Amino acid sequence: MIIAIGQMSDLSFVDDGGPRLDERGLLVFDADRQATTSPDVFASGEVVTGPGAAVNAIASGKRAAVAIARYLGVAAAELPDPDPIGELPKRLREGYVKPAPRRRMPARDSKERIEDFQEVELGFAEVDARCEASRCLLCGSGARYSQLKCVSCLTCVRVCPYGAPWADKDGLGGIDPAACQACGICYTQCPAKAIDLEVRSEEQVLAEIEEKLAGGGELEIGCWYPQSRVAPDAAAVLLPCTARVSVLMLLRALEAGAEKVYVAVCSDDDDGHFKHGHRQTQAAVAEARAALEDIEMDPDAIELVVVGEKKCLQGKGAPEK
Amino acid sequence: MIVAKPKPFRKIKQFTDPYQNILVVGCNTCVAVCLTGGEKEAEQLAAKIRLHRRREGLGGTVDTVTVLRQCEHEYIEEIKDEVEGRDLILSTACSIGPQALAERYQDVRVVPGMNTKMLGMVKEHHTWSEYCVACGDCVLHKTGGLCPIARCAKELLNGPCGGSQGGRCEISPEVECIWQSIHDRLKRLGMENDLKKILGPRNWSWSKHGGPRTFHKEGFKP
Ligand code: SF4
Ligand code: SF4
Repeated sequence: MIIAIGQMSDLSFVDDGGPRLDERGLLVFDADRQATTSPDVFASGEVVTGPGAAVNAIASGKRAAVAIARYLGVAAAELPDPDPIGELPKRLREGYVKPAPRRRMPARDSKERIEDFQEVELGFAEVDARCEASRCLLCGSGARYSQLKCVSCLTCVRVCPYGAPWADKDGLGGIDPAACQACGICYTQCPAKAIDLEVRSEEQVLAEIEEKLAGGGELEIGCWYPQSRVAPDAAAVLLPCTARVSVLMLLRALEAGAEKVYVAVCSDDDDGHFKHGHRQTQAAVAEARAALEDIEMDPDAIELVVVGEKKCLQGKGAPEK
Repeated sequence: MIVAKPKPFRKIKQFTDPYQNILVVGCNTCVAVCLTGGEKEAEQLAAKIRLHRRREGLGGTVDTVTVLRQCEHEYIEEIKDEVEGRDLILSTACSIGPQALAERYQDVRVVPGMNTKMLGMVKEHHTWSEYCVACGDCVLHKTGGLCPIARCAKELLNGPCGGSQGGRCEISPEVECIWQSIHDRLKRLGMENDLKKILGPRNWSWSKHGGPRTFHKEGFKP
């Protein structure tokens, strides 16, 4: 196969004294050290490999960052060599995960475009772009399981809508990363904090909540798929699913000075982006509101609001168990 | 498994309001499995107490630490640095936890965050039922493997009583009549004649009625 996408790196700024280029116009490169021929210039991505997958370029960027840190004498941990994530299990392909058809990219008419060198693809309208983005399976960004902290309670096995967690008779368990759809329900329910989420971990979200509320005010914690916000003036913390909102997050937001916390869900019929996501969010909000009643605070300081718009939603719903 | 339920918050605040330096200690065994007192719940409770104290202007510090099992000396020894300087420990374990902590940390006041409810098992996720009362003299071999001491409201050994209706107990239609189930099961096993045998008197002194119980593993001197 000859890749001829008509694009290349523009390295014309590299002058004679700088890093050497090879005959293909790419930087001469030592992959072990992410190094070019100039001792203080590092490189990554398509300037060294030529056209390839964006994900490889991102990984190589991360490796370059580690190489640069070490070159500067800063300690940097070796990047883990991630286990490849397997194929989406058959039972999920055949029914559990709803197929989300692709949106067509609007393009100029071929008759028109043979006349010039203007861009062919016109780009998505926002709603379509969000819709396309929501087709992402979030592979590898979901549950991160710790056998050490797990108390083998089976909660995750019982609550996951996608059947990703497992446990054997000895209580040894795990979560199949290929089946995990990253909804976060197991994280919010695990009583021993043995599950966190790879992308938007609890620590990150709590830090973000605290940072955004530094001056008090209102907070909206919402799902990152719908387009509209329920409280446009409030600080926003957006997650792949509000099923990831824990009681602790809600209480900590009030501790951090929030006058009001809106939890914005995309759907009130439990058929949002993730099956049972809404049910989980409702339970967490109800528990947090009950906690406020207990301490004689107005429970309306935490409010569940349904974003009335599901236009761009590509659900990952699972059938009832 | 031991099943315990959090005490109402009005109790918790009564216990904690007068103190300034509070440690909430979670337990990651039974009460984690019954979703009431593990690490997650302990952290939530601490956040709730802090919010309450801020509203009431009580100040002070409320932190948390969780051990695998509060009923083990070695595990609660591990948290001595966290306990240092506290004037109150609030335990979210079953009632063994606060006692173990009180034994080890003699100079710190220890209060229970939970009411210990029963020895039970999960019926469906989020619901637990009582299966055993630790009576000390198990009768399951005589009753088809179903416990009339824990699961019959009257602790009958010759049930069912006249209040059994359609397999339900007279105290509530929600409650299974365990004696009906015992009869059904023995019949299925072709053992219904066993029910005609006189069970003989029970030795209740092996139960709590004989005073606090201690148990030594055979062969090892206490
Ligand atoms: S919910 Fe948490 S503690 Fe329970 S089995 Fe799953 S990972 Fe382990
Ligand atoms: S509950 Fe959600 S986050 Fe957890 S394993 Fe299942 S799909 Fe993944």
